[in-house]
Amino acid sequence: MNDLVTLWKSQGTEYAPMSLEEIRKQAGKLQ
Amino acid sequence: MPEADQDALYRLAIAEHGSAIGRLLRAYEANAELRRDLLQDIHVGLWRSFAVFDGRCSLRTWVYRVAHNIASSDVARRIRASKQVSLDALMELPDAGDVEETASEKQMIEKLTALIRTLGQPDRQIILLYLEDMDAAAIAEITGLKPGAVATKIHRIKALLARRFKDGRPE
Repeated sequence: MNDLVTLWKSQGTEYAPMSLEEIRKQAGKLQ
Repeated sequence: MPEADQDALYRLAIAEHGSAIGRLLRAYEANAELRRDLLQDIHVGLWRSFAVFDGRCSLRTWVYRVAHNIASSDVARRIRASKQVSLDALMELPDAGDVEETASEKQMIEKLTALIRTLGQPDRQIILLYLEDMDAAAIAEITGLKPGAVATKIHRIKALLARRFKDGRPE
């Protein structure tokens, strides 16, 4: 079963993380 | 909270739990375009949430609570509840001979993800946290369920996974 947990956690990152600037923009904090 | 602290907490949260959020996304949303939108919602929601983070729970607990709440709310808006089943119902379904002895890792992950997507809440959240290697106490803290109830669910999840994936080995 631990193998299944290891397998699940082995998945790569699909998307690059958002920058704080992008996040503020999306959050409506920037004009 | 000062915005600099909010930013720092967000950065720390993503550094420590960003990969887990990515895995969570796949289990909640099959459509890649919608998954990208959901990821954005989770990131913005997390950053906003840190404005009121008071440290009364761990950062990990906070991140998983926020991410799962946003993901499940988003999916619930678009998917009819009838498409989801409970863990108990899934346990009762025949396996339909879908256990593969020689599946590749990618196939195994896809199959596991598809299985998780069929589950409603809180079963989906519990199985995802279990696959992140959390114990019943940690899962109980995140979900707000009683530890005993979580332990029972985990027992059933283990049985289901063992049945569907043999020893959990992709070979």
